[in-house]
Amino acid sequence: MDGPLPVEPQQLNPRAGIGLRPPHYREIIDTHPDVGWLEVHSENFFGRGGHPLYFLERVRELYPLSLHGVGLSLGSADGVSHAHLVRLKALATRFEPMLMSDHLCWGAIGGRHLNDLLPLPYTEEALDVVCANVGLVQDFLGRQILVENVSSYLEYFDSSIPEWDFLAEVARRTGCGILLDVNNIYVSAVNHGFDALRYLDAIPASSVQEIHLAGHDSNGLCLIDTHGKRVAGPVWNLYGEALTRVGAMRTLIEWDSDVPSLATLLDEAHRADDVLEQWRTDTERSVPHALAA
Amino acid sequence: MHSLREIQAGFAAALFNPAASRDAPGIRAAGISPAVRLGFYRTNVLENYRKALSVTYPAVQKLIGAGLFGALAEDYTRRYPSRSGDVGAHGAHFAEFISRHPVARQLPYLADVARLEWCLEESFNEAEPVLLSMQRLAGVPPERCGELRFMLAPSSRLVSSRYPIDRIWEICQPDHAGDERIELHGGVDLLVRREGFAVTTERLSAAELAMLTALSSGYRFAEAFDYARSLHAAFDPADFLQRHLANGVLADFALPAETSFAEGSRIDGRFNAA
Repeated sequence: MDGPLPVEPQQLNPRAGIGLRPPHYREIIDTHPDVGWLEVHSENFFGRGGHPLYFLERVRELYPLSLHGVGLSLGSADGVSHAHLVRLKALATRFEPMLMSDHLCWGAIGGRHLNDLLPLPYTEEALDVVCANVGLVQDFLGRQILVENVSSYLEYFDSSIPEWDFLAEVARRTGCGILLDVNNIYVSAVNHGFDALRYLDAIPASSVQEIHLAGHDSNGLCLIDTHGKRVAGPVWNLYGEALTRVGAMRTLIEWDSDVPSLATLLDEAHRADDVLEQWRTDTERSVPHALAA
Repeated sequence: MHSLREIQAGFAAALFNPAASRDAPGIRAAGISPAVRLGFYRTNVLENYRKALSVTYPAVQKLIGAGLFGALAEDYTRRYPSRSGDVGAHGAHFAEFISRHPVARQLPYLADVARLEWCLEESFNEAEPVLLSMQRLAGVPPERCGELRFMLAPSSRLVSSRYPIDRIWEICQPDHAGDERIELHGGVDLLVRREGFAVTTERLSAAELAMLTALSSGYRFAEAFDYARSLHAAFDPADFLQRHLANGVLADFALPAETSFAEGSRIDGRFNAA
């Protein structure tokens, strides 16, 4: 990569980005569409060379980039894999991402990886483990990471802390940022019968640095976080509620199964851009009232 | 109250063994039984692995069909636990698994096709080779050429089979047109290498394979050549050099004197450090 890399132009006017998946690598570079930023799964670029890394270099010359991990297993009693961190740091050094993130979940135990985002029991012990792991990752990478809430399909008897308080406490103790996945809040709220607004109310606005939006499905018993369709209506509504609490916020459209055309993805991103724009307009209009009050 | 490790270990055990669902500690029912809730995760996890394996092993899937491939993927995932947070690394032992599976009795070439596909995957993601300096090579005194130790490009792989797995792989490609019947007799020795970012496969003579195998194991050029010529008396080292320098498979070299000097200085360094 030659010359300066694109960085996010503004913090005041954040835009929507899309999760870049292999079917769209070439089209993104060839067409260079108008989208605020891109996010990729870090582990897809863990090879030592070849085409994927070459493509990511070209992409990085065109857009601000976020590296989003699915494999750190921040909540595992095993701790975090050193080999995984080494690869992650090499990527960070090479691509200078604006954000790096992973999930509030676990995915490995006893050396066996399950390669999924599995729910944690929200206990004091788990809180200590997550905070120690997040702290270790941030120390190793020499930078802040964001931690994202996941969808869940079960809860544990032992949980003694609401998920929203648990996440807020991780951010408070470790200084990590929060990646607020509004779809995941909605899915879990429906599955477990809690109030999604209560979740949003508990999240410290100053810690939130990114929002995720995605589609979900129902298997008849539970909502499942499939990332396989457009963002659902109630999730758009909840997104609006999130913006009133955390302010205009960079927002990502994720789509991982039945990946659609790039045009469809961009269309979803532009819808999020429209919501962000509308939110700014409404806020500006309300400023005089606020001042009058 | 269970420890975090107990909860996670119980969850993982139940995930791969539905009969152990009852042992998974502390999952609330809340209208849906814990076993059913674990089943949601089991579905996701197995589907995730099946998809990842089908991306790496499309020819294997084509040969046995999606149904059997799915069953094999599930069985493999239970027997060969993933050891990395990178799901792409999970398929490393799929060929070994297939070779021990009953399906290998009906399709004795299947494991070798899987080995070839894993080599293609590895080659695709390997580091770019260091460009060999022809000038430096030309500077080696002719009488010392036999002492050269060549290194193969990181993206090169050698695969041998008693079956024509390159042809089998070809007819499994989505763009393959024409005859899908092939003669199963005749083994092959294959070189997998990358040209730019494209991975290619080509056949090697037995002598070439011997030469490349010996060189990749660290033998000197003269030793490798003796070995190759024992298999094929007319083997021409000049042809070999020309071909595999041109295609970039011989990616670097060292003269033993340089090597022993380097080893010497390492030992000195150790003494100094002590």
